[in-house]
Amino acid sequence: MIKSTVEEKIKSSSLAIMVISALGALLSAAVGAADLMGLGKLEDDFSKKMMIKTAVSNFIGAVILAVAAVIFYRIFISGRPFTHGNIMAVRVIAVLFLLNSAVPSLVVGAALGFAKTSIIGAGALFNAVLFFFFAEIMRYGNLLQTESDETL
Amino acid sequence: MDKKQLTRKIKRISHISLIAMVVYVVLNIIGFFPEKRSYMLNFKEHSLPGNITGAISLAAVFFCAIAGFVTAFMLLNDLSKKRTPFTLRICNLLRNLGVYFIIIEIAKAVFIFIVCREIRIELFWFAGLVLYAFSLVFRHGKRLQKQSDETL
Repeated sequence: MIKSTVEEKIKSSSLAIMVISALGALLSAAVGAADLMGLGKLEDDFSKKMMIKTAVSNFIGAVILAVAAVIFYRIFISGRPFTHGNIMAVRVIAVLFLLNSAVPSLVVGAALGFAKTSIIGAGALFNAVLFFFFAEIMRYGNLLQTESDETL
Repeated sequence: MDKKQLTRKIKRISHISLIAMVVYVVLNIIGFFPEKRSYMLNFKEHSLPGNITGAISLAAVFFCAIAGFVTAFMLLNDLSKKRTPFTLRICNLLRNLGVYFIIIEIAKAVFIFIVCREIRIELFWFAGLVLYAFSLVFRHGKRLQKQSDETL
């Protein structure tokens, strides 16, 4: 694939993912808020705590999607994926996934006891590692980009 | 950090991820994650002779999970052995992995809806979408790598 085609594809896919991420962030935040508003209707303590867990998870998800929207917006504008700002943002997403894998369960676990709930979400933990890994590969890409810019 | 150090770091992380992935698969096989087992038990209780959608979604999750693990294994193996992360094979493996992630999330959501009558969507679909976008970013990296090699 030639350079302009790749850049064009990167830009168009970034725009699509930016829109999806932004919509997802809004939806996730709305669902989180709805979870919190629905707390009053629940009677037993266990259901309430589980609802809080879901709400916390949804809010963290909303922040992750918002950060992703910012990354893809930047790529869409500049057409350059390997920048320091994007590397930092990918690391922030990794940290948020890490929080998402433990914090919601800790919220419930602190109130109900850890034996009743799983502490680490395996999926979110996997995503965290994945994004940390991508941050390192992006750093390598950043070095190549700098080298390319200096050569030209 | 220079290019060599970063490449070494990427290779090391790939090795660790590869081991973690194998451990995760083994834990899944021996049924370490009880949540997934309870879904299966629920499905057995609720399954009707005509519940084809559930069976198809379960089959899709199963086959895509296997294909995803094989692809991820090949990807990490390549990353831990190749001189650079930006190669055509790695781009294609990333794209395939992204597609598998999206199919798994959709099929899983359908399956959980049939079994538990609740909509539960995690951020796995988003990771798939990002992987797909990253496959394009890797193509850009491949071009930079080629440029860098030609300069040297």
